[in-house]
Amino acid sequence: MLTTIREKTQGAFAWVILLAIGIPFALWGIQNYIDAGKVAPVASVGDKDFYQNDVNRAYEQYAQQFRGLGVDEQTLKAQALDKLIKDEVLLQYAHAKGLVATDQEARDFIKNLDYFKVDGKFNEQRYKSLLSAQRMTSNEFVARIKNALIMQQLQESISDTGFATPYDVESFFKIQNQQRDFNYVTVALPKLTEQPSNEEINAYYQQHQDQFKTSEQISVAYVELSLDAIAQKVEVTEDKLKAYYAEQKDQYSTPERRKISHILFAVTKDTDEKAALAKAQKAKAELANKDFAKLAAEVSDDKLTAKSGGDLGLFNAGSMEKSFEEAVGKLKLGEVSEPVKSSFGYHLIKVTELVPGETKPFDSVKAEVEKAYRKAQAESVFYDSGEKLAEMSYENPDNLDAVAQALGLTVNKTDFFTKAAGVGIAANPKIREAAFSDEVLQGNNSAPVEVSSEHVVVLRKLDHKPAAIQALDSVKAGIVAQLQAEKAKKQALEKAQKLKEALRSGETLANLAANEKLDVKTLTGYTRSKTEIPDALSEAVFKAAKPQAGKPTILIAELPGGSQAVASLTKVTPGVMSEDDKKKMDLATKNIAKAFGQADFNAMLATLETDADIEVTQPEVGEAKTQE
Amino acid sequence: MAIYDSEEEQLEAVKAWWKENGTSTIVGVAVGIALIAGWNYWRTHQQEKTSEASNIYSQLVKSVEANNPGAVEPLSKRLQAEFGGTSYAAYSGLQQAKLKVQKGDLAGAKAVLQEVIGQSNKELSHIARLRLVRLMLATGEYEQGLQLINEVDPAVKAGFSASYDELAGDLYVAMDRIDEARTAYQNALNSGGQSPLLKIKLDDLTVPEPVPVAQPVKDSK
Repeated sequence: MLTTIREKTQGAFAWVILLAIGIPFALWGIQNYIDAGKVAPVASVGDKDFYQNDVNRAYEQYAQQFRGLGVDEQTLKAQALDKLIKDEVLLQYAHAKGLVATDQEARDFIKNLDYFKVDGKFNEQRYKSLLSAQRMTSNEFVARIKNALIMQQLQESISDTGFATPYDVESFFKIQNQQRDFNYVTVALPKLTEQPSNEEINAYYQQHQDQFKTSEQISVAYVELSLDAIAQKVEVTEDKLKAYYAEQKDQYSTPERRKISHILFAVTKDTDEKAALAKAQKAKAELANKDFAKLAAEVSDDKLTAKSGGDLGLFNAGSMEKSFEEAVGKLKLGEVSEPVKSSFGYHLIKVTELVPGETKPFDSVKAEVEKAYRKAQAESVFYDSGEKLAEMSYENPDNLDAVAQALGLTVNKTDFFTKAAGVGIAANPKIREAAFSDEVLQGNNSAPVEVSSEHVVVLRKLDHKPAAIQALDSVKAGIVAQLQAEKAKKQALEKAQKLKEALRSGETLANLAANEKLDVKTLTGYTRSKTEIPDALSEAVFKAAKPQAGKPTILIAELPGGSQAVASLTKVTPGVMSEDDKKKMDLATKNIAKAFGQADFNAMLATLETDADIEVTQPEVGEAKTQE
Repeated sequence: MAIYDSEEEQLEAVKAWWKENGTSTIVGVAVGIALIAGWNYWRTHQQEKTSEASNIYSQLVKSVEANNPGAVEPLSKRLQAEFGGTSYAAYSGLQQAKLKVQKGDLAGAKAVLQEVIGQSNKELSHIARLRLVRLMLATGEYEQGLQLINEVDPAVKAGFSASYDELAGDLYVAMDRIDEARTAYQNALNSGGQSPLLKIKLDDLTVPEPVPVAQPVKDSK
């Protein structure tokens, strides 16, 4: 898993750019930047401070890449912070070394970003609106892009200039394709009939007390108040629903939509009111055989809308002068008004689209109305009861019955649960936290726990089991199995070691195996990339010393499950390039070069990090966020 | 400061002060303005210069990417001549060395890297040195390679020490000095070496167990 992450991050320098771009376009607004002043920084590099917000934002970006890989949040957060610091170190170094990106480069880069494209082409409008939505000037944004570009320039100048010589490639294949010949036998775990003695069991029990600990447990009684439950009890009659429906009609109506166009005859220094009116009347007459939009384009003094045929878009009540609005209200679809006076001059108005408002009939929304009604009625009850719940459970700290009676609630009970996990209501961490609070452990009612804004719980201790060590009897079977397994393994290992000694003093594996009735397996030309034998054995074989002076190297490897393999390594042959490898020689050279380049870059980054003044004040990044 | 009784007195005081200090004030302000202007000019000049270097280097990188080594040489020469000492000059050296290796001109690549070592800041100089030694490994100049590594003050190696140690290990392997190679690889691993090959190379040099003598050896594992 971790290698996947490393592979994904390495070389993927795009991340920096993503971050540079992602910051402005993520959902967080400017207030994050402003709030940052009030809190202590989480980390700092030189005189640059990072706040929790920065880390959270970096984490969001980072997490998107690895979503679905099942990496836990804490690991990702720590890595995101680490990356943030590394990038800053790199950026400061790039600045110190005088690296710059030219305006042209930044421009070219921005123009190729998908964010700003409409129909596959850079769109100035979109660029501006996206930036202004983040209250960011183009200069600030370009500066960020330039930073990302010089970091990329720096990284690529190191990591992409790595090379591999023919010698490097040859030695790589020599070791990668190395072949080892060996044979081996497997010593299985013996089946033990003898039971371990009571002394042995007892000794194991005493020595491994940690294994047999149980966690602290508690069970609680609780009353709960929930908006839903109260809503279910609200009394509903047809009349009440109808009244509510009438009251809330807006909720069940869609407003009328009117799209309008106008032609303006402005009153100006040169055109007095009369002249404007005359022009308007003349135009109105012309409309008898002329298109409204065309005329608007020709004569309207509202130059902004003239081009689009006088279109003013959707009409919102309350945004225009009264005379204008009244006129609009009276018009039918397609009809043109008489000249209407406003402070601008005279208007001819036309309604170009009219979708009448609609109110859904009561019967069709009855279920919805009922739900809303219940909720509305329940809300006030919920808040009143919530206050009473808090008061009464505090005043009667030694029982829940009083408050349950007063509020008509039932007292429920849970099974035992621990601090870490529970079922039912105890699945909620807030409940578990309250249950293990001092006040509850001492036998009092808890303070009201807000499970959600519509669900409140008060609980008290029913029964409590402190952390304990399980009695020997209840764990005896497990200990016996454990001891048997250990013994069997020990015996297998002893036998393997005897075989090894015999082999080292010159016995052949074939002879020994025949005596012990074991199977000899022989493998020739085995390479690291093969998978015929268990990994543990393969690793041990390739880690074993090469045979000296014709004498095989003997090794033991523990296989999964505890059986032991005894192997005799007879021959090591340096690897050569296969025909297949030769065909891919260019690719291999490139890959090795890339690995060298990347290593150089990492070494450089590590050096810069050592030299930089880095402080991380909060090792557990984002603790607060995980509490949600 | 004295407290003046009337506005006239104040005015008189100001005039007197100006008579005494006027010239030096004017000169001071003028010098200040000149300094600021000069500084701005110098900075603009520097910025233009680095912009140009950056621009040339970008062209160079594009030529490398477009597999057009012919165009790289003149650009690189220009960077060395006009912008020597900038990071861009050093980067162009690294680019050139890579191209030369790809063409099989190891000697040429060595010369370029030598130059980068001489003129660069310490991080780039480490990188160029490591690459130069790797070339020496390929051309059989093992002793010289070891010497180049040993020249470096261990105190300033910092993040590069694992790379140096691993390379030293490779040199020792080539010279068949296996014990020293093993130590070098082990050092590389201890200083956090991450190269995937490193562990394999070290495992390949495992010391054989001592040959059993007359008395049976008790071996636990």
